[in-house]
Amino acid sequence: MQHVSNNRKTDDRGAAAVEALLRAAAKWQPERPIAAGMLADTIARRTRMPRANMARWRWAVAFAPIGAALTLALVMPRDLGKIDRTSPRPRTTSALSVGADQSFVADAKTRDAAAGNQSKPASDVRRNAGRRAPVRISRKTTRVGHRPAGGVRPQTMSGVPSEPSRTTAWTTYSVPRYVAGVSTAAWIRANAPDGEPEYVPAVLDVPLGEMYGEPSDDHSIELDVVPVRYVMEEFNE
Amino acid sequence: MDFPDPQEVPDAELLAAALQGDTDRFGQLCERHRARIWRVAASVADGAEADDIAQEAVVRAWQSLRRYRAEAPFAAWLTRIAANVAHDHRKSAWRRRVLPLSAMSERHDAGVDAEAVALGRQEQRAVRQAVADLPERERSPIWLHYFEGFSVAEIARLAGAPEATVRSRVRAGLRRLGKSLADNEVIGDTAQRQVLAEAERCSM
Repeated sequence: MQHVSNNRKTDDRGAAAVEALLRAAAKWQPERPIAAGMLADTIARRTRMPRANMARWRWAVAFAPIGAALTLALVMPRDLGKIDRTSPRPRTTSALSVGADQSFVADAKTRDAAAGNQSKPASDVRRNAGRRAPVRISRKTTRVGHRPAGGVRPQTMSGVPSEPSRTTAWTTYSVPRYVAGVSTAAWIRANAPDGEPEYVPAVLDVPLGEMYGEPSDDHSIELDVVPVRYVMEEFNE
Repeated sequence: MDFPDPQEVPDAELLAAALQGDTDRFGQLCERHRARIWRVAASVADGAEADDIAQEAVVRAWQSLRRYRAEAPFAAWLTRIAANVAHDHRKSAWRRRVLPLSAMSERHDAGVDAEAVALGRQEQRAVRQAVADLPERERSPIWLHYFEGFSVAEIARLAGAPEATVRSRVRAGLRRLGKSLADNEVIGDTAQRQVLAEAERCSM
């Protein structure tokens, strides 16, 4: 007990000594005073700036889709025009605008009727219009420079194939060059079961902001799957 | 229309506005208590680092303002946050790296004539820094009670604990502080240090 008592006494003296040091330290004052207004400025800077930034970000996020759409609207026609200019094939994309689709179908029907071929009835054409072709794009590609002559369909001046095949079951497609945008018309290289490739017009459904290939591509690009909205009726089985 | 002098507006009113998101009012409130914040910051750092600590303290206070319980004095709450920031600074890797250089320059700059005064100030500062190094539950009551003059009852309200608990924490803090200061080279060969050393020996 005596030992405990001594310890307590020593503890008390130690605590008193610490308290004495604390009281002395309480008198300490910094040599340099704090600048007046510094803390208020800090609050203003560090609490308002993030909000302002957030506001800016909110605006940026709100306008990003509009900006992207405008950019694509400006860039896409230029790039597609570039493709047309550099393409050794006829002006496919421009011919495959929505208007061209209609005329192409109409022309094909007229031609089919005149030639007496076994074309699909007009009702089939209408029924198939806009149908999404269940196609998978092949990774097989053909460089334009090495494209086999037999694989290219004879073209008319308007870019419409003169002898459309109506019985071919297309199995795979490859998309030439560069496609971008929401819905892009393009000639696609279709591989028939018999191995004879053909170039057929199609409307692709490329998501907004996505693109396949580069504008500078001068050969067919390798693709696994390109969303094909529909292949022109004359070629669609 | 006459606007009231900011100094005349009571803390509670500024605080109420700050709680509504008024950063200007909160800035005024911090300016009102800047001397306390500065004493904490300057105890553990010099120059721009002390500025950083003071600024960090008010930013942290703003961020945690919603958690402030109005029953405790705002000044005590703010000082506790500043002490926490000071503690973090003391424990930071950056400070551990740069301290030797700053400590050397401080000792070198002390003139021969001012040596006694400087040593006294160094000793006081060393004690404050030792308090800043204590664990939070012991640091806040000791700092607020001994350095800033808050009563145990006010500290208890701030901590949300009974006064007896606060006193117990203070006693535990004093013991820990005694051990720390007994080994502190800055503390001179004073009577207090001898007592601390004796207390340290007996507790072993």
